Amino acid sequence: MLKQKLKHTLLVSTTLLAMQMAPQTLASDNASNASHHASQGSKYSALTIGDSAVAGAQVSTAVVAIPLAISGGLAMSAGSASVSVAESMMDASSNKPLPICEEVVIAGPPPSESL
Amino acid sequence: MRKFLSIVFVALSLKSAQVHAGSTQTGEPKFQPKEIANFAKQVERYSAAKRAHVFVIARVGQPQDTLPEGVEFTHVALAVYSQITMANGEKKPGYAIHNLYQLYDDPAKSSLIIDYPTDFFWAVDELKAGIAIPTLPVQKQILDAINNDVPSKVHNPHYSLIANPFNNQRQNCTEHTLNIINAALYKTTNMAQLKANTKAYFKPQPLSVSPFKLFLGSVFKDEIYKKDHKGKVKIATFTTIKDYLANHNLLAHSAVITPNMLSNIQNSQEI
Repeated sequence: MLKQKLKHTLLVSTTLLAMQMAPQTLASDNASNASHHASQGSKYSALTIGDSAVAGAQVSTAVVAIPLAISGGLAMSAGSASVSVAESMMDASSNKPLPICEEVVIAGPPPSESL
Repeated sequence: MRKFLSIVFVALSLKSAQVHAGSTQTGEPKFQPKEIANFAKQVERYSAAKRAHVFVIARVGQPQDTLPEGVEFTHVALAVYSQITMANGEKKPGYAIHNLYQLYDDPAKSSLIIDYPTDFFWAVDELKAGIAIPTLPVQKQILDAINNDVPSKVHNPHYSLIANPFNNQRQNCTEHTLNIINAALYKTTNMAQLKANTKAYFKPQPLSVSPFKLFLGSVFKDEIYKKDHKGKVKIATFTTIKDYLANHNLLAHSAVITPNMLSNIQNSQEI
């Protein structure tokens, strides 16, 4: 009886120890999920309302992003989906910073939420 | 026996909750939303000042002292200079981030998701970004690859946190990023060819986690898969990708960006 109890306790302790020792240090932080997308609404609120709000910048939800083409001796391949705008800005030989919008951009909700 | 099984079940549930608490993008932000948004915008401006159209971007999702030796960042993706169409129809320039994200409700699977710098840094443990900007010809080739749907062609949705970059049995965000870069460089999505080239030229990071811990992880967690490794576990990381580009003269600039570093851009920490 005592032997069985000891065996049981040892087994439980080992399992609990194993749980603690499993490589939590390897935990990825790149999980994505429905709640992530659902949380986009609360993210928008956090960025726009109250003390935590971003001052002096508009918060915008993105619908789509299309890569901008590199020009200036590095022509895009035919039929490229990239958009080519403000040719002088995009010229690879320019030293000026690429233009960046002032808006704080966040991803929109998942397509399933638009139904 | 029933009592034992319920204890194991509770222990597993607790462990699972613990890991998700530290591993999800959904968690409560550690920093003020305005701090995150400002940092994200500063990373964009820094990269735009370097005229980066496509670059490797990395973030830190958990405390540095909990990461294995040699692993500085926990998530890696490609930032792509884009024309962003907003919900109100306006079109604005900025960076979109092309990610491979592990599915929260099915951690052994992943999907490809585009988000934006504020989303990317939302749940970080530290306001710190790794950036590695390839040379312009390489950027152009990666851009071509993205326009030709290469990211989805080299995506394997079977996820492992410790995926072996030398084969395609499982994949994580870092291996996927490396796949896109190599597919762009070699202009192929033939996985056997890509993996042969990776094996020949890419130096992965040996993982300094005890074999016992890895064994336990692979037993109890679907997303930790060890069978694709023979011998010591080696993985792709932000640093190993940056070094790979640098060693083959394909890197234009790299840096670790922090708010302090940005406050004095002259002291930019080149790596």
